[in-house]
Amino acid sequence: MKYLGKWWVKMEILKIFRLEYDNTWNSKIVGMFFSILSATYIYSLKRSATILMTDIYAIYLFEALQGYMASSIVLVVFVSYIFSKSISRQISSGLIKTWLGFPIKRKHLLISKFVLGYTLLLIGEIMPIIYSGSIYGFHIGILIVSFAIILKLFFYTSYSMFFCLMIRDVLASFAGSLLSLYIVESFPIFLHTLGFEDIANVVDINNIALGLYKVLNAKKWFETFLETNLWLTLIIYLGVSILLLLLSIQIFRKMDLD
Amino acid sequence: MKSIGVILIAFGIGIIIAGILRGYVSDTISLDSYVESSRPVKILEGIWSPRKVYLNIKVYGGRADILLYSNGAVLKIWNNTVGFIDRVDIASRSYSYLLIIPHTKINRISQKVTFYGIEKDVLVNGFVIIILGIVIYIIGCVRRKELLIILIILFSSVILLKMDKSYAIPNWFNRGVYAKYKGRIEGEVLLLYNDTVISGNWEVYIYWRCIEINNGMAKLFINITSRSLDNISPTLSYIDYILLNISSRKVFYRGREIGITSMFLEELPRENQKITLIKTENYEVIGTVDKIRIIPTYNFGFQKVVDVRFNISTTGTFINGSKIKLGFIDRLEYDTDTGILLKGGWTSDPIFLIIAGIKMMFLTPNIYLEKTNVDIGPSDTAIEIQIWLGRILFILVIISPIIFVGYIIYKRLKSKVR
Repeated sequence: MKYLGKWWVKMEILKIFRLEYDNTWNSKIVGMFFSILSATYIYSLKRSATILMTDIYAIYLFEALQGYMASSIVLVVFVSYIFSKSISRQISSGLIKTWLGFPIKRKHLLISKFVLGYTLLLIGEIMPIIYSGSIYGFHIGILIVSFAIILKLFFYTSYSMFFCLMIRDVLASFAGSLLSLYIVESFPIFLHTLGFEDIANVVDINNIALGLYKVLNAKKWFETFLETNLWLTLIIYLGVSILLLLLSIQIFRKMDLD
Repeated sequence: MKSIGVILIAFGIGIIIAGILRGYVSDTISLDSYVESSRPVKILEGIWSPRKVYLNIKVYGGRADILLYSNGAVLKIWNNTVGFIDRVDIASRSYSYLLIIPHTKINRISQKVTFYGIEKDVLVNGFVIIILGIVIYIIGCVRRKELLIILIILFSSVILLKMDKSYAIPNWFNRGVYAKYKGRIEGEVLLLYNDTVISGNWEVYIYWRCIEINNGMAKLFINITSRSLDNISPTLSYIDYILLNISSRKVFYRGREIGITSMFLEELPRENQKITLIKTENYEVIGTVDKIRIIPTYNFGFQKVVDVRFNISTTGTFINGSKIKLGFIDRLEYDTDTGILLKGGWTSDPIFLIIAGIKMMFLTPNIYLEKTNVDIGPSDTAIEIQIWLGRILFILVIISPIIFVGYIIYKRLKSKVR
């Protein structure tokens, strides 16, 4: 009976996935997101449009990083849009109450929305990275950048979901999430200009990829891992992302939806 | 299944968009290798993008055989050369390089390589992914196996598409190269050899063709024609041959050195460098090199040019005996890839003087290169796009009030109907 119950929940979650895809994503958004993101990523791989020097291995990573940085701008817009549509809009319109008509817990509903959003956004980001492997060949840079993207997107999505739960107005949640994510992105640059180099390096999420490259190329990798403060950046962003996710679940469980 | 199809179609479209955008922008690599060696040396080693490539290679200090290797095979050879300008088409993304085999000790190799045009593999990959997406989408919709077989055949045939092979066009300053310039003199003056001034309206054509080339000396056929634009000004036309030293720009006529021409620059000068632009038996014009910039040209799109500023002055006498002091500041614009004159105030030159007896021409507007078979390189398309975007933006700004008013009228009419 217990197993049957779990199986039933799984079926309901699959239904939620389908509904969420049709309501929030749909073919138009998916098409736009995937085409814009892949175009931005592949366009920014400029060296492969001329001569890719084969003797300087770091070029591969820098190329992958360029694509990663360029696609971040598109990603921020889509993350904010998707979660404002999926969370704020459905709460403000009362549609979420219909969804809760399924025999599913609130926490499962929110996690389903998060998982689908995160997975599709991640596929959209990873696909051009994998495609770049057909141009450059598969190298460690692709793995490093993919790892950095997984982390960065985890932070973006959990933050955006939290923000959209807080603000029910669709436009305000979209604009607010977008603006605050841009601030998060540009905050390290601001710290750099103020002269706080060390703090800027720690809070810069984009440093993860470069830091990982240094660590993997170092002979004493563990010492380099500690020296570069990479562990601190990882802890900060993973910690904040998990905290925001848990907070979102708690808020949604106790939220008055009327 | 349908969603995967949509994702693949969108991804394929994204790749094609990226391919087109990348293809629109020409990318240039400029390098200088100091080799000081007589042993073979590899340059521009790496994975070359499958685009059209404009190569401008100069070998300093000696001669060499240059071989272009692509994907393990020799794509092209340039024998016993001090450099070349050529175009090749790289068929597939592969490991390529230029192998320099010096005949004597060389000291420097200057490389300027421009990649332009669409990358074939990116475009083909985009189409393949789109077709794959369509197939998957259809599989999600229909069950008819015959249709699927047709689609699979279609898909396979696209994968098996083969690309064109390489081609090449003539090098710079070889036998047969030519250039034709056009300009106008409107109400201005032609200053003739004996300092006699005549004024009138002409259309000026300057044409040169390399008849033969031997030991760095080119024999040029020159035609200078000033066609009358009114019934008063006389039509003047002169043809003759000169010898030109292509490394020093010195002009020889019937065995005598007559000066230095400004029809090209043998070496790209540095910014603010002073160079002898024009030299005749009686005067020398020193030019100051200005910054490199991109300009629109008559027939060759947007080209990167080096500006050389100069000033020139002289006195002349009209036929009625009255004297006139003539002087002006102008500039000549040279292509940075070849050094050939593209545009500018080509007012004075020992060639004009010796062949047509013209000491100076006051051109309005400047003379420009109308036609040539010298390969001056692809147009800088990024600038073209910027200009077009600017034009579109301007048009949008102009027509936006009309669209806005139209929209309001439409809305009002609709609400009235309701």
